[in-house]
Amino acid sequence: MVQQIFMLSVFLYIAAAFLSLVMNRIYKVANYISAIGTFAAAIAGLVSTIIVLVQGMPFAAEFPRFVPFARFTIEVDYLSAFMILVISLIAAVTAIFTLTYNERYIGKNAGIFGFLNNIYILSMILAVASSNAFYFLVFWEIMTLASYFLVIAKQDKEAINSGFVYFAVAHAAVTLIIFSIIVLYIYAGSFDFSDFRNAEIPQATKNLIFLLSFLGFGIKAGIVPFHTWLPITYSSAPSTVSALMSTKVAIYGLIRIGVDFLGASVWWWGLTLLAFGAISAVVGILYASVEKDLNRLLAYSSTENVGIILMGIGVGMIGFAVEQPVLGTLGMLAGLYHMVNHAVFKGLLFLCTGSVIYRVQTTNMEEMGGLAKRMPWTGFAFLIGALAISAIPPLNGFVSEWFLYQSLFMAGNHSILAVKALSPLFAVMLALTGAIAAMCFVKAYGVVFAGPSRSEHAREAREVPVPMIAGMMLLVVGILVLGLGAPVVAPYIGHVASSLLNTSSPQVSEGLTVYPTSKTQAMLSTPLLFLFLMGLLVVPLFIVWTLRGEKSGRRMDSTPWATGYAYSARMAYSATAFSQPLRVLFHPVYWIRTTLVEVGSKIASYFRQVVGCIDRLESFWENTVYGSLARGTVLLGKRIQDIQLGNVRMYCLYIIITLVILLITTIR
Amino acid sequence: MAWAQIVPNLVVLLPVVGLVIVLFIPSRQGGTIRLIGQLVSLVVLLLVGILYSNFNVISPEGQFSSHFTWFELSFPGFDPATQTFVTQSIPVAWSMSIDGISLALLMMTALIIFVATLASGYEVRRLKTYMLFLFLLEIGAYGVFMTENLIWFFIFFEFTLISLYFLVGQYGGFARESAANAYLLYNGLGSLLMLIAFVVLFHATGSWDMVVIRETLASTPLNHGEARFVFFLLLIGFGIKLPIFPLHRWMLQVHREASPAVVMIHSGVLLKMGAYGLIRFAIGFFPDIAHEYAWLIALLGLINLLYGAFLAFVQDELRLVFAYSSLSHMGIVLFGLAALNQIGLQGAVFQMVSHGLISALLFYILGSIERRMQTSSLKALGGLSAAMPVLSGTLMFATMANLGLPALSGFISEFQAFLGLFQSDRWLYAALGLIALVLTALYMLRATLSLTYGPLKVPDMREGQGALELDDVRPQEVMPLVLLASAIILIGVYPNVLATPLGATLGDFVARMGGF
Repeated sequence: MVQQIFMLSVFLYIAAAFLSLVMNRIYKVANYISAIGTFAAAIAGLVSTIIVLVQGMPFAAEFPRFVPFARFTIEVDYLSAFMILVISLIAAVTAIFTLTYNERYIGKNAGIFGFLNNIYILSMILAVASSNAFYFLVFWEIMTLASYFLVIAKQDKEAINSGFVYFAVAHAAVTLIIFSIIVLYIYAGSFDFSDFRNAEIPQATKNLIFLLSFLGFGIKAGIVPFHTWLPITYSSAPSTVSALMSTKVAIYGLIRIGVDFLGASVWWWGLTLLAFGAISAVVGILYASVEKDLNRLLAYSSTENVGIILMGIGVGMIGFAVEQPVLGTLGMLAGLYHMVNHAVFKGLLFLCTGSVIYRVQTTNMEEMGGLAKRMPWTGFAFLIGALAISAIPPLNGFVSEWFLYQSLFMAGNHSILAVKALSPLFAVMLALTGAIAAMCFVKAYGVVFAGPSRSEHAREAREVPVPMIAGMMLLVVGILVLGLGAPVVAPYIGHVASSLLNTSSPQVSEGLTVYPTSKTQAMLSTPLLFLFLMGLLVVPLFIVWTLRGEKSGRRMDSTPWATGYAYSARMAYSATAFSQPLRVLFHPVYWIRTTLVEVGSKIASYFRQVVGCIDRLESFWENTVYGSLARGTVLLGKRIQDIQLGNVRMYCLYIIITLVILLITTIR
Repeated sequence: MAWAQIVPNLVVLLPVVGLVIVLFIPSRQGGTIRLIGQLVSLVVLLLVGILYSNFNVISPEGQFSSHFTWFELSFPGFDPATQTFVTQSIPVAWSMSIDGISLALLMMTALIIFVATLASGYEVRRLKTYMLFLFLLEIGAYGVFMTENLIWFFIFFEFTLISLYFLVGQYGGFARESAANAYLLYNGLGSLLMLIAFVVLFHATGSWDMVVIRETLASTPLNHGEARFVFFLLLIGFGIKLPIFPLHRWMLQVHREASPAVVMIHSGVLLKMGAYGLIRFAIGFFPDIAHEYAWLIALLGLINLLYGAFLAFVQDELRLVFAYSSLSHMGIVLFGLAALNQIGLQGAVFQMVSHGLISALLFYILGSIERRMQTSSLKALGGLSAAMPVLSGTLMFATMANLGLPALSGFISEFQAFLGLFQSDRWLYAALGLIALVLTALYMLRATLSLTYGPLKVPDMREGQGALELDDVRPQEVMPLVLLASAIILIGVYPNVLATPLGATLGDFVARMGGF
């Protein structure tokens, strides 16, 4: 039954993909077919995975062999079901969103876009569902290519360049993943996941496999120092694609190999994840907070959130490695919970960004402003998303980070010295991340939605069409469900976490509260918190309303007082201005380069000397590390070419020398 | 199944018939000549289809064998038993047989040659001569993969050598003559080394028959030095054809200068003869030496792979990108060979077939673009997808196949070759070779994207260069594209179409090498 629903979902994706491709000529119809097909398929996927998670009935299926050396099997266990749930959720929402979004953004290629989009979602789902590493790689590769074509959907020069970067990075990641899987294969003797789990592998080889897969999936997930492709890619990808990419399937691969196959056998694996996670979180949010391009800001924030997810999984792996299943489950719970949270709020923020771009036609925040008045629904949705991503209680971001804090505190009680010493530090880094994240999103909301409008487009913006609002509102509901419904949701995610090591799932909720396996450590009740906060909001209003006098409650609509001068939009706080303190404080991290430029002769003619100055934020990694890597590759190619003399006589000489050497070695 | 024995002979005979017929047709009747060429290759394709459907997949032996003694070679030999000189007469036989490896390559060859004859619509000048040489080339290409006799192998090999020399030298770009000369120089040398090796083998075993030689060598092996000498002769001889890294110069020149239909056959079929020779002779006859020097084959493969990929990255002409890509992909064939286990060898054969098809498709599209734009320079062209969406789409498809997209033939081939090498002791080479997979994706996408995406850019035409044509795919271009693309998809989606007939042959092959 569950299996049939799942297969129905797969079939619907395929049907939607090919129907929309066939209907490409009538692009409006193709867009509708694709979106409705995706939506239906995603709902079927959601239903099947919810049944798996709630009723606890994983299923497996085997299909005819296509290749001689690998069985084509899928197995939807708890972890796979959880991932499919996350992907389907975002797929359903983006499907609604694309109904009108694509008309402007994709236009006449809607059929091709629909095809690729469905293939992309389907390959993600099949990658996490397959229980054979060969097919995992096949679907992974299809996923990479489909998403590559989605990234370059705009087809302008910038999009093609960012697509190129994305593809290069993704392919490098795939190479490492293939390497790690082939090493596993050599020890297991087949590509079946079940054989991977039972393979006898020496510890040193296990370390190698783990490091390879960590690098591979880490690159794909966008951790520091491999994060530079994220802002480049997200800045030109369609917003719906960015939202889908926020599901972070790479984390699944990491958990599958690190925890499921290799059993998280050494504690320093977890610590590695924890360290990279913490650094990614801090560096990611630092970069995000000084961005003035909304897409790039969200991209850097993805690096931050991937860091937080990795921290949770790192704690989980430490727990599993030292045979403390409670700690392990709790850390894993925090990581997985944050993964679904991130997909939901980052998906929402990308959709809001898509809506803003839809009307304002730029991603530069300095040219927005005051949009909340003109696009109230979008503004509200962005506000909720921003609150959630800044981990403000009682929304969902807070719940998962709370679990992460709890697991870090618990890890601090642990006997391994390094873990003991470092856990509080990581907790502090998480706190720092949270603080800067709040600042970053205050800035994002403030500059985009509050204040005066800074451009013509922003002044003329209207609210986006209903399907786009509906898409965003669904995710707002998702945030509330995951936040306020934490006592209901957390046990199921805990169950996914504990299923990884076949331990019994710990008690993490009771009634309206959640707690980290023991009530003595801490307790959290988001519903009560919500009621309390609502009370704080409602009671003053009620008081004002009952005691209102004749003069109160009237609002004057006038421009702000600007010390006697006429108010101008240029006086408003801009994105760059807001983040200036951070730029000063974290100067070494940012790699700011100040360049003197010539000022145009028109101005210069009025003054004796004019010096222009540009402060440019340069990513250290982008220019210094990856830039020189790319230049080196091209240079190497050009240099090697010089070995070829292009002279046939020289080559004859080479051949004769080879022959002589050969003859000499043969004669004994 | 006695009737089927005649089919391999027919495959070789038909081009001969075609050649004779074309000889008597006046050269002004270009249409008829072209039609005969296409008909012959179509019938051959159908015949190969018959072979495939009647092939016994369980048997590792050569099938559809036919054997006629051609002449007897008499010469004095020393008989150790009687301590006297006696006159020995050794038969040189016309013997044909087909096993799994031959069948796979034969199918690919027949398909590519059929498509190439369709593509020869591009040649209008001196069509008769062109078709005659093409027939000669066909005789050689089919024969090489089927014959069991070393003398005939050599003869067929030389057929391709000579006919391609004229095809390159007379039909192609400005520097075609120097390309043809380089080609002849290198490959003549290669043939020479091969012939020396064959003569030594004959001397040691007293037979020209592959099966007899193989069995004789297995029971009474040569001494180590001799075996190594012959092995290296074969390695270099076929290595030139493949081509292996320092011996590749001629291949680039041919790729750059020859006309597209010729490059399709050259890149698709003739390069594979080198790999075929390596499997059949170098590895098949001397498994011990092959085991000893497998690291060398893997190293050469790695160099090919990386060198080709790096250089493909910086080329400014589409032709050269594809040429270096061929070089790089031949490295994967070497990887498969160096694995010396079943999955690796299967990957090598798969890669030979797959690269043949993909390369033919790439060069067919390239020919179509060059015909329209008079150039394949990446700097002069751009944004073609606006003017010719279908052709650009097919180019994108071929690119995807070449960089190894799953569900297309390139992926399964590369995967098996790499997997095989990873399973052997030489896994380090495979690990390093993975870098090239990234580069492959990059250089292919770089070239294809700069050609198809962005604003439309066409070259400036000078006087007398002909006019630009900006039309999309033409009716006569549909069939070649569809044929090659569907073969690529078929192998990618259902690899058993090749793996099943290969299985028994390779299993036997590996068992004889003492592998697994």
